[in-house]
Amino acid sequence: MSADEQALVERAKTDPEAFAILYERYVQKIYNYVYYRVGNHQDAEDLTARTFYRAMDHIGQFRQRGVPFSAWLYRIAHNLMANWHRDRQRHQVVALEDAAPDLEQGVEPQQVAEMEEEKDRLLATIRCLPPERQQLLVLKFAEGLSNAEIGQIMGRSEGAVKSLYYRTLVSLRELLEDPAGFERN
Amino acid sequence: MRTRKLVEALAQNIDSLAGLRIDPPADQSLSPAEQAVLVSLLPVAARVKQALKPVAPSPAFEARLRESLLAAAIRRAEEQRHGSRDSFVQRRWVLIGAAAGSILSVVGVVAAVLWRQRSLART
Repeated sequence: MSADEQALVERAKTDPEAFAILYERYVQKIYNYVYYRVGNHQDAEDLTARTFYRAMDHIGQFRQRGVPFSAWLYRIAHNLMANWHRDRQRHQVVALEDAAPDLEQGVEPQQVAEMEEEKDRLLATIRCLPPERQQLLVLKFAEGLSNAEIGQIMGRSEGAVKSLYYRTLVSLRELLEDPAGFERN
Repeated sequence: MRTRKLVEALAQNIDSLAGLRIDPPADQSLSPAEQAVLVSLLPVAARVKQALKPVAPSPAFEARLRESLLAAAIRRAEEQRHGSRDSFVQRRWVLIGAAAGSILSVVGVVAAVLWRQRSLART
């Protein structure tokens, strides 16, 4: 964590404006992370709000022991989502309700629809993976974090994170190659 | 088939896909079997990257949440200030009470000693 951020976090323990700066810095990342884990905007908004309220309530207890503030936030979001999934006890279909399709020049509308369908199928398959593997894919591909940052959030070494990519992609490939197996899951 | 070289090569390729590496992945001199596994996993990773495009919250939600967090934080800071002032006042009265109690007990002991001495002098 940079010295600037350390100072900001310390200030945020007593100064609401400093907390607001941290909020602005991380709200999009947390929202993005939550969105791909829950699959719809409504729940993503609710869980993002709860993440920041909890962070505000507990920021006084945040100790800078080599763990960045962002990793602490992701962990709060992760714990809230775990509770949310436990409460629901179901796998939610990725809605992507209002995500605008990528309309590239020269691409037929039917082709765009097929691409969207393909994307939805892939996201639904990702959601069938164990939670920590979903978390890994979202942190890497949606959030663009380094392996070291992912390791700090997930409480694993960089080597363990790299091994998890392998296992995750192998599982995903198998699920995609065997839709019947996917249905059974 | 998981080997350290394969895991490392896959991680480097994933970093390239995620835009975290500018230089091409280093040559890990994989065996043909490892190369085949790598080649089968990379398209899956590319599809995941394509599907997990960053999503932004609506500006209205962001602004609303910022406002309500700020209001809650200000309220909490005021409560803490009031709380610490109240506890200071409370602590001051406890100290005054304790001091008064101590003075009273010393006075009581002195009075008892004097009363006893007078009683002894009379007899």
